[in-house]
Amino acid sequence: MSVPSARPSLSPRLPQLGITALTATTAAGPGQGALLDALRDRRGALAPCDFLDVDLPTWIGRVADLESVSLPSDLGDYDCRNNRLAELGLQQDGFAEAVAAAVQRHGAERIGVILGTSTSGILHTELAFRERDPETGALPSPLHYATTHELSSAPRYVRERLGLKGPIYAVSTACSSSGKVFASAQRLIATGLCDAVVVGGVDSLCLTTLYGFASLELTSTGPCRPGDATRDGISIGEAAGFALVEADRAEAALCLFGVGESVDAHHMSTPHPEGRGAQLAMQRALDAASLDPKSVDYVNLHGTASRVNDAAEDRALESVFGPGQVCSSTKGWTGHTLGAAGITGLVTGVLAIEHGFLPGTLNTEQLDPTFTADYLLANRDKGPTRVMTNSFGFGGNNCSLLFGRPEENA
Amino acid sequence: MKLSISGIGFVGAAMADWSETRDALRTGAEPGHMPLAELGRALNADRLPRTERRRAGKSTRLAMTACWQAVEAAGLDPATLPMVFASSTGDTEVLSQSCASLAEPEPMISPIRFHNSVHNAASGYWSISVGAQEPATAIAAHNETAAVGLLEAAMQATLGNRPVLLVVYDLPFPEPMHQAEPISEPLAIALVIQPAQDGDADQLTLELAAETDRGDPGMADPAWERLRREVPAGRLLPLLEAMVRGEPCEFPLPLDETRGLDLSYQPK
Repeated sequence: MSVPSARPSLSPRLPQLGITALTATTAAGPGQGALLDALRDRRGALAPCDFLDVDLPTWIGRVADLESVSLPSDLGDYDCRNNRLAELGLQQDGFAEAVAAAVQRHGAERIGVILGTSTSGILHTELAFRERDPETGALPSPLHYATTHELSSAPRYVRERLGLKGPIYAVSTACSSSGKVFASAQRLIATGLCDAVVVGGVDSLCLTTLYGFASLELTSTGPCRPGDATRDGISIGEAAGFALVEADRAEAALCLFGVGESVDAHHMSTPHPEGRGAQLAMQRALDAASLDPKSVDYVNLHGTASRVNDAAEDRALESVFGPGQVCSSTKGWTGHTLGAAGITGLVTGVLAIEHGFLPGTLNTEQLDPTFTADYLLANRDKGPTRVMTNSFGFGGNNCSLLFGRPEENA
Repeated sequence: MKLSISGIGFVGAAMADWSETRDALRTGAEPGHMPLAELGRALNADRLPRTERRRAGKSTRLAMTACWQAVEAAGLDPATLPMVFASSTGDTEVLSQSCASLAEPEPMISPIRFHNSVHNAASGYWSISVGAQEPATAIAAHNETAAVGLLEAAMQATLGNRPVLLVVYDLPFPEPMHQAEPISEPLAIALVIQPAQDGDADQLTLELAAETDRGDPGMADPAWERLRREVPAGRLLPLLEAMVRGEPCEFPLPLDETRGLDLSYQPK
């Protein structure tokens, strides 16, 4: 065995990818159109928590009518809230049809599936625990753990549903999960193992996250107010979002320029106060895209409305871009969709590019006076050409995605 | 992808470290059994900062114990290494306790149990412990978790042209979850993987197989074979056995029913 020399920290130059199909289903409704209308009309989708019998004084971003979504009968073992959300998401924006066309171009075995999630179908197990046998403590059987609760249940479901045969796995780095899937897709394509990858995230409401964030005193009592001087925490949401990414950029209207990944190495559930890891993630995304900070027109913030996150992110933004960087948080519309936050942010940024507007932060009345960024509170009519979206999670895990029209970084 | 392995860590099946495991594989000794309840004492968490040491769950301690062995064997500063943490289950004890307390008439989950429930808890604690700010991922693919962990780490090493820390680890579920998802032993295997350099080292080659009909590779010894089959992380054991014996080997690591990673190992 040999002892290699340690190398300096470098972002490897991974290929820019064409984004050839895209969809998101959030509390605003199924598909991109529902999110676009909500963003333009400044109509938030958060409501007081009415999920199951959860008794918490908080607001949530719940996708309506998931209870009535049914899965194809041959995939019945996958039935759980998370995979119903995946199914509803796959039906929107012609996504399944676009993947079918990609199968014609590349072959099913050349298309992988990598999805982010924080809790997958854990709700299925949480509810099963309520049904334990009072004598033996046994769970109702069969539990179908592998096709519901297990973290790769959604990518497996999506592979089966779309008839794909490439590699699949789940990335579960809490709230940065569905940002980091884009980096794994770049690697599958750069090594020649895949021609295209279905990426994204699916994360649904469950008891673990609702009670967990409440126990950390991180949930807002009303709709979340990102960046507000008196912000008091997050609103938890749920979402499914998917992107089809391909090596070939010629046919793509949108392009992923670069991904930046980092960790804080600071604390398990609190970001570094100066956003040390967040700075690194944003800088690495710029380096990977060979773009200057000035070339980013808009940053879709992680912006959860937690006291500490929003302050740390503003510090990080200032250190990378200087003061006055145009940005906003769109968590006031959808809530914080956790493992689906990265893909939700990407779809939001794409809508801004394609429809020529910038969404101003919703619900926020008085911006934190310590912030130095140009934190938009009202929608603006001029759209961006290059957008960065941030997602940061527990474990100090950070990811920034940089994307735009292909000609903007040819 | 052509790679070499410059450090190995191992803990589980009643073996405390890689040198004990190497001896067992060399002499044909059987792996042992260590119940989840007894696991804590076997783990080396003394290098975690005091607060984190008190808070870290068993899966974190298990993964970190293997990681320390691998990076020390490789002689590398762990802060410089990207991290690929692959586990089929994450922290089974934390998840089971959470589901039980959320089923009570007054549902609750403690803040520490909540942050320990995330799949990237182990990589979070590890990065804090060693001061690493390199990319850290936490992935899962049920029984194919070891294969995709190796795949992700190999891609990162190849494309970044740098060493990468991989750890593949699993814990058994306590009852009643054990019935639904039986995993027989706590097990963690850590590897420092780097791009192959000419001539001077063992060589590991990974390729995506179009179709694999060679089936699962079995191990000759029935007790080792049980460990390989009954713990998702155990799928890497045939590779470790070949390395210990200095024998070339070729076998597929299944990615699903029909496809796999073709893995071949050539000792120097």
